[in-house]
Amino acid sequence: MKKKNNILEIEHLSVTYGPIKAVKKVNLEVNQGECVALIGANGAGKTSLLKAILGIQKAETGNIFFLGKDITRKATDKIVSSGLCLIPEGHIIFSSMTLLENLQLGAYHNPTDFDENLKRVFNYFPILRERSGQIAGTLSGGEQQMLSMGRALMSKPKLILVDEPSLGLAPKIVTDIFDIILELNREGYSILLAEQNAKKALESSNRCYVMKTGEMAISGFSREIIDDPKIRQAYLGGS
Amino acid sequence: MEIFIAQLISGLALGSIYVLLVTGFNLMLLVAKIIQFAYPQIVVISMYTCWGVLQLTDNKFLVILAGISISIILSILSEPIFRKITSTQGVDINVSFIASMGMAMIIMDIMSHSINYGFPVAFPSEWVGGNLLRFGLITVSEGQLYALIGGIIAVLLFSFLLYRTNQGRFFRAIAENRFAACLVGIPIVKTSIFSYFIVGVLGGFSAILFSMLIGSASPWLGEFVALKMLAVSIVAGLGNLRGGLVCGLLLGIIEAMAVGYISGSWSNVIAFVVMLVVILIKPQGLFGSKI
Repeated sequence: MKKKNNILEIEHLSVTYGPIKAVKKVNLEVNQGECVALIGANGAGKTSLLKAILGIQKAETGNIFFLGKDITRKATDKIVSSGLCLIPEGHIIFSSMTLLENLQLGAYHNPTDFDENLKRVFNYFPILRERSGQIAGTLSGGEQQMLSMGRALMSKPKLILVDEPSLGLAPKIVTDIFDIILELNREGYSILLAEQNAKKALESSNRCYVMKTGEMAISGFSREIIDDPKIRQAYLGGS
Repeated sequence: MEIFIAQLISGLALGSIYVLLVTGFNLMLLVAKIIQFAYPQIVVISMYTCWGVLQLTDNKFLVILAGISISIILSILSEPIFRKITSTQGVDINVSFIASMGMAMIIMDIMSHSINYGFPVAFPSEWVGGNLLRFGLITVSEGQLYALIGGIIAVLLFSFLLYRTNQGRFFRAIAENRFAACLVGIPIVKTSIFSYFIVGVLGGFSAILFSMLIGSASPWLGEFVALKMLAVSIVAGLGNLRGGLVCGLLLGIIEAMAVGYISGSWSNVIAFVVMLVVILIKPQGLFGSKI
């Protein structure tokens, strides 16, 4: 049995694609109410790790515990219904459907308090309310990212995995998106945030892990790491 | 004008059957990720079933039930085979095409060897509704009228399912973006199995309407129909449901007009010439491919 405040715990997780080892024996944990950053360059294995947590990518070895239960080899729909969700990189949405239909699909496992959840999502993203009848493919990149986040929130998750929310967006919108992530965290959502933009990610997180070529290089409190010039030089490209 | 209207009715009746077939085919393509070439053969088996039950009883309800059940059962039985094929890594959709062609051959050979000595079967006239109905100068057979009404109802019901219900939204979600469907937690395998069920229902409906419209079935019917189904879905754009609706109806009307104004034996030639021209001009199909 795992400790109570431990919402997600990963032990010795490895993920491989054929001959390529994308994630090598990684350990990671997220406590209740934390925002944890997962930092690393392109190809460091962040997305593979997140996909493995959600059961989209098979875990080669290791175990993943969510709320004390082993979810390592569960089907994705079971994992999602237990309260985990992933906001994928590159704002992946159902572009031929309306915004509202996208949000309805997000509530697949949580249809009972649909109206209440919809109201909350519209409070975070007022723009989605204005355009709820619009076809999602006609939205701008930033709005699509917001829709993708709103869709994830419709399932009322206990832990949100966010993959590269800043990818391909204008700086102003990136700031907005990070503000919303911070706000979600303040309201009690536990968040695991994978991000290339180390500065932004460190500023908005309590703790962080740095991945390098599939391995966990360092981990610690974000505030300490952001102040450590050596670590910044070695892993964060001096930014 | 009278010929035109009569042929239009028969064309719409035939067309609505094509629509059901193409829609089922597209649903398989989009949700289950397979090319189900054996689907029309399942429809023909289901016509044979109706014929067989008609030898035993006059109860139309039982006949319809038997026809639809067989189609559903066969469709669902094929699911584990196709799932094995599609879930193996590195196997592309063409493998399912070959596998379903194999299934089609097997079904065709079983029919031609063991049912009615391989001869085509004719449906009794009380089933076909051979009575002619006259509306002024327009003459249509009862069968044509039933097929038309049944076809329109089936297409409307299916459109309702697809565009107005949750289940339909799950189908469309998987069809549009499998990854995102996975992320919101739609159970892909379960939904896919349900799509085989729906396709079975559509196939059963098509079989009943088809038997009323043409009044006979033969072991070779499935292959003709399969080619047309494939042609319509390519002309419309693979996986394009709305396109399939329009093009299925159009093919029915074109064929009926060819029968009415030129000669019945030319209807296939005309249909496939149209298909070739469309493919040459718009290789992605008139409405655009969705896969």
